[in-house]
Amino acid sequence: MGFFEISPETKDVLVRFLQPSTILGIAILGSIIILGVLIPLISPYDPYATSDNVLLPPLSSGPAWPYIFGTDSLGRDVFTRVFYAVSTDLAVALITVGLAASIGMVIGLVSGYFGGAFDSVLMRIMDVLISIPGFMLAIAVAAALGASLFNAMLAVAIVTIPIYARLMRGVTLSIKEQLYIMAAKEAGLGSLRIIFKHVLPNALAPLIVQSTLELGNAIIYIAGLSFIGLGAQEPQPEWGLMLNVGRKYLREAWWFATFPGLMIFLVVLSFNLIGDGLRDALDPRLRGTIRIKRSRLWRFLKSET
Amino acid sequence: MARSITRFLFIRLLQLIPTVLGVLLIVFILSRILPGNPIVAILGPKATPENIERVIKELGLNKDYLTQFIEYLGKILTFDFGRSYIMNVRVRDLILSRLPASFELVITAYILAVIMGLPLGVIAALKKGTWVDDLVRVIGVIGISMPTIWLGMVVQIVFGIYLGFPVGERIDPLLAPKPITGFMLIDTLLEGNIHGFADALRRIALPALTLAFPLSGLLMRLVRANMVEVLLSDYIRTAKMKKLPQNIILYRHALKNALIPVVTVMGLYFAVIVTGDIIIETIFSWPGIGRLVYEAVMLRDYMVIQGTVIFISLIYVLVNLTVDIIYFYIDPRIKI
Amino acid sequence: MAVLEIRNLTVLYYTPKGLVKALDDVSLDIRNRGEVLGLVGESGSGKSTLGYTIAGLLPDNAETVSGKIVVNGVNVLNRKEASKARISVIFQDALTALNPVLTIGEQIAEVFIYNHGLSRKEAYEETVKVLEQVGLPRNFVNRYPHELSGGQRQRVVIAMALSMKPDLIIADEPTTALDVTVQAKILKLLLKVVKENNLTMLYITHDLSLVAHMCDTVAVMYAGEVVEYADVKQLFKEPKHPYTKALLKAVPRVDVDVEELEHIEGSPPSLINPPSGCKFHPRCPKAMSICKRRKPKLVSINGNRLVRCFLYG
Repeated sequence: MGFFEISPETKDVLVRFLQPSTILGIAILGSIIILGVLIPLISPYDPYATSDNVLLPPLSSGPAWPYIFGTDSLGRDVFTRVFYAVSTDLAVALITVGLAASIGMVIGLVSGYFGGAFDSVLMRIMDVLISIPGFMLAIAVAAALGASLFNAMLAVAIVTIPIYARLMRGVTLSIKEQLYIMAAKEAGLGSLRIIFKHVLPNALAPLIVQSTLELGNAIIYIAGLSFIGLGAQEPQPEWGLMLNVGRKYLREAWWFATFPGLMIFLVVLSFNLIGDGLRDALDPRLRGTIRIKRSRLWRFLKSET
Repeated sequence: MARSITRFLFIRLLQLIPTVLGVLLIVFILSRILPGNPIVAILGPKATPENIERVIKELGLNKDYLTQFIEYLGKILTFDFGRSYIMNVRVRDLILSRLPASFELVITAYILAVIMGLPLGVIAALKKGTWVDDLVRVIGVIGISMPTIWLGMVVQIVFGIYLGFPVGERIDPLLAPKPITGFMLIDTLLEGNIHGFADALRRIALPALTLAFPLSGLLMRLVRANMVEVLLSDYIRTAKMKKLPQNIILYRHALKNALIPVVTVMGLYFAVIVTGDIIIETIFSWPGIGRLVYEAVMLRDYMVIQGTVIFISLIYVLVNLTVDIIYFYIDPRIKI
Repeated sequence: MAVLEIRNLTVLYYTPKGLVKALDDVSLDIRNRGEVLGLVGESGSGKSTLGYTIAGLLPDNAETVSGKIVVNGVNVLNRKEASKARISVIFQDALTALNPVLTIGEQIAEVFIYNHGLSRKEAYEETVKVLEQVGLPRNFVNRYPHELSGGQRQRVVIAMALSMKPDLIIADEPTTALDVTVQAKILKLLLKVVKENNLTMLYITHDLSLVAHMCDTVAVMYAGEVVEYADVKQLFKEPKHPYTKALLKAVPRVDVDVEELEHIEGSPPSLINPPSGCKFHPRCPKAMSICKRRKPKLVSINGNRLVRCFLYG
């Protein structure tokens, strides 16, 4: 195979991944990220600076360029704030999920690999965490720790840990089954390294798929907590917080809350689309199920002698 | 060994006890790690030195943690959720008074979600690869991506502000029925109060539909995925071999199998509905437990927050238990 | 009128690697009622595809491109007519072939209810009778598939096929998924059931030794084509096609001392890009130059035998 050629298996995975919906998801997310980097650099408006141009509708003219999304109750440009929030919300989501995933995977690995008392105790704790509806637990934790974005992140991370723990445990257990057959040959030495060589690669696919889902969930939860007042605080640009404040002005200034909400929707949507594409691409059972068009059939038949 | 529902229940309940204890423990721990002085937090603006003394004695906060926990357990198990000092009312009474509103909303939303999501999921699976399937998949993914906060607000703007739907009450007080079940929709019907029924229906429609939408998206996707898998299985091929009528194959063979995993998940979806419920009740000013949570957080009323967390978790546990029982009956492969 | 008549049947599968020609211009007959035709071949020979095409149970990515299949006068490839055909299948994997959430009784009785129009009571009576035929007790009617052993499940599948009262039964490797000890019992059962009911059966298998027990006639398939067809005794006494000979030699025998087991050189051919000319020529010990250039046709020898090989015409 040449340098730029890819194996048919990889090609198959790529074809299944790059469906129209997944490409759309990548496009949306990409644009948002690009704008999230660009706008803060080029916008003439300071997201924190208040002004007298309060509650102006979208596309009204302002001192620099027009207020594309209008202004909020403190005269700040909604457009600028919405895109400043991209880095806030995405960073928050990534950190929260990253934290939850790392801790959760370790718990799941230990639980699945060592079994016995470890397993029972750890899984019991996970069960208890899951028994409290996620958002309620997040509220309880955030309320107990105090209202701040950081605490909201912790709260959501705690709620997300059991999902990763269960995932990892499942993978570990199924690999353990197979390994006992192989262990006969490998004399069980360095089993820890064997586990790392076998368990982690197998966990990679479900981990990635789950994480795209959890990233979307994290954004929604944190926005929700901010909406209730337990997350980000003024004057930080964060979509959930903007929704909270914007709600009061729903009648007079619909744009205040609508645009941040739209952003949350688009980001979560793109995560879900990408996640779906990943799931289809990485599911081993779907290998080789793309249909060939009818035109190929005719060519095949005609070439027969 | 024969399957027995009593055995099953017994084992399940035994497993539940440590879980419930764990939940209560977590809430207890959380309530004791409040920032600053917890008593100040509980009392809020009424935190005078005399009140602080009184509360410490009342809540037994001067005793060691173990005694505290045991006393706390005792109270919870006798349904004593304490007092809200900020709102000056027993937490239990507060929760119970708000319960019917949320209950009615949640059940209506659940039913709507099933009516919307299930048939669409089945149709999408049957017509896999066609435009119908694509449409359902699009609706589904939009449904699960839509933040309830945003959807609620958009619906409010469009329907509430521009189209003038009523908001904030379960029913026009002038049309209120005698409270028999606590459900406006049922009580009005029982009385033959058609105007009241119509009014209650109009008021519950928007919040219920908004609450149901994300759930129906989840259901659509799940049902579709399960149906597709089932339709590819060998026993469907056997059913085709037997030349059974199409609807028999669909209902008796395909659906029966495909819906079993869906039932289990329905219990977990209660958590999703709780999340949405808090938001929806806040946005639509629906007088239920969800809005109570919001109010409690705004006021930093920790006693109420604690009470609602415990209450909702217990309901969640019950819901999942019920689902497990249903599952036991519909899947012959389950033994315990 | 023949029970089964297949003429020039070509079936393709769509796969990402290309179009697979699973059946290449296949023609085959079962002339007499009560006859058991054995269909033998390796995996990929097309034997299962042939069975499922007759039964109308091909998967979505298969396409019947050309040909004719007539069962008892009914054109099976025509959607409307096919519903009149009475064909049933004995599936290879009984566990997945049975619906896990219905009882055995329900799954068999529904054949009587929807195919023969019986009432529920009558249907259950018939179900018990057919269960008896396959050696299962009456109380199995209330059992679920997962409660049965592999052999019992296979009996249920056989019972289901019988309850259709078919003109033709297609048995798709019915014993392959079973333990060896159970295989013998199921084979005996099949034989008994066929003889008792004078059933016409297409018996698909990769195992030539099973064919000797069960079948009256045999068709050997290779790479989607029929390469030999003969009466069973003739086939075993005097195999003509080199592939058939190789298959026979590969069967381990208890009565003869052998140094090492024979096997066939090479590997099964690609059905996407089959070998030119005779598809067997790369592995054939008797290959001649013409075998590479031209495709041999099925020719008739001694009246009732057919062979596809240049050695014979």
